Amino acid sequence: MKRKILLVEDSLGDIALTRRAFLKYPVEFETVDNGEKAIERLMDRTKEPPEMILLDLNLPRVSGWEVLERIKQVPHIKRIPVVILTSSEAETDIARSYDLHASAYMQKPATPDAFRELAEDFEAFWFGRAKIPQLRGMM
Amino acid sequence: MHLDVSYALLVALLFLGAAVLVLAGVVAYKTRAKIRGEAALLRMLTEAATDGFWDWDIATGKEQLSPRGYTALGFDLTRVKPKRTYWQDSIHPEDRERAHAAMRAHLLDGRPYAEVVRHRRSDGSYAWMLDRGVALKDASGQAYRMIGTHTDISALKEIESQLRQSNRDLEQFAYAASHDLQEPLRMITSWTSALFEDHGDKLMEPEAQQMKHFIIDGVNRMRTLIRDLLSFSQAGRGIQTTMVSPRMAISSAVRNLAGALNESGGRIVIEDIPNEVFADGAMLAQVFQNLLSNSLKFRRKGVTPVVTITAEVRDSEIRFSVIDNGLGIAQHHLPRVFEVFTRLYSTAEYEGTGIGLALVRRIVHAHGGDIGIDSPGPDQGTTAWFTLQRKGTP
Repeated sequence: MKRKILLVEDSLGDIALTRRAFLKYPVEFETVDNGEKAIERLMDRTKEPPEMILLDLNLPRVSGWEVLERIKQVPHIKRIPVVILTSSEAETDIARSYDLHASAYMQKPATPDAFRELAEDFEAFWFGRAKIPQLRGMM
Repeated sequence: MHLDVSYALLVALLFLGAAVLVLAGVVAYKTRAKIRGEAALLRMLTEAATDGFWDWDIATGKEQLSPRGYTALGFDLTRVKPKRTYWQDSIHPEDRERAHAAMRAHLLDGRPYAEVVRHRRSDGSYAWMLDRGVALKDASGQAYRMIGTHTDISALKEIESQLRQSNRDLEQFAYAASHDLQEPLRMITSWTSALFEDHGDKLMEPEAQQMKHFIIDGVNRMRTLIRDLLSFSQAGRGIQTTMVSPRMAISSAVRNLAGALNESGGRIVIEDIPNEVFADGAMLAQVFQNLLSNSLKFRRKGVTPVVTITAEVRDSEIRFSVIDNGLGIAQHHLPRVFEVFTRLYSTAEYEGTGIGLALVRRIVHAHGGDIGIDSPGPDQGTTAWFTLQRKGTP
């Protein structure tokens, strides 16, 4: 059974790099390329909610923070772990993300090798060590 | 920065001019008290001066202004006759308390009265006026009258606020640009690596490998440049000055330079320096770190680098010097060393982006200090110095 991750990312290069890094893991990415679409997708009751959300901060239309703020007010949806994946390493960006209840904050790696390491850690932690809520059929 | 300097000069000149005029005014007023005939001279003086004069009777509260005082606020004196208390009444509500306090301080203990206050113009807008004055006291020491000048500095204030805004814009621009510039760089490195991962078998020739090396190397240098640009744009921002120990700042700099010290075998000698200085501790550490790092990096071949830190107290300032026995700098290069991204050597000879000294200068200027570099010439060592305030101004 593939794990379903919603990838909120506007850069085609980053989407491809992320898919590439997770290639050998049983993960299925669904992508949306702006914040507005991310909120619409998550609010859509006809669709299964994802198990995890990978969220970029610098997004067109609605920023990653606004997405966080909105979805953390929605019952059930607010349980989905949101992991920030962004190029920023600014202290203020990190603080603000956790203030808005992000589950983790990761900086985008600079090489494919480093990205694969990130994927390995991510998979081992979130789908191995950590227990995350099951939302299938609850909506 | 150049604008800042010329602005400071202009203000200094204005102050000087105003001081001379006040003096001239005092002399003229005193003379008038003795010799009626010289009233004509005074009138001529006030009409010739670009500043206005004011004369305030403390007992009655009535004021007398030279016509310049009213025309500066937009009054056409041939048509309107402003109230005899207009000047005092027209002070901006937010400035009134400060102006009165400064005036009381002057009357009480003779502290010079010189305040920049906003006055309401006839059209309701406000003019920035530099107000200066002196009290006249009777035989018992009681002040009965105050006279002074006012200089319209609205145009300067306008330039100052434009300058501040433009500085803020520039900092914001540099910050945003450096963040956004990192993105495409990450794409280039990532996909160059991916290209060689997936199609490496077709790119086995040494030439191809070298091309890859050039791409990655160029991108890495660009990344360092952007990072340095970012720190340069933020240098001196959010400065928090207290009394700090220069020794602590130096220790923190030395800790960060452990690698360079080890590699060069260099020695740092701290001579008699004061226990305290008024500065931002973290920024002071950064200043020492950049200066020491330069001294260790630009060392002479076969000569163990020895860097001496000394300080000299001069009136309200402390002047720190960082003196090395390194490569030195030719006289004709000295004027450019503080410019951002200016380098005297190729990156192959010495690593770096040429931001170190530019950053140091920005920090020192943010503290209101001065900075300079001297060198007798190539291979004769370099002395970098900077000044900081000994104590905070209350």
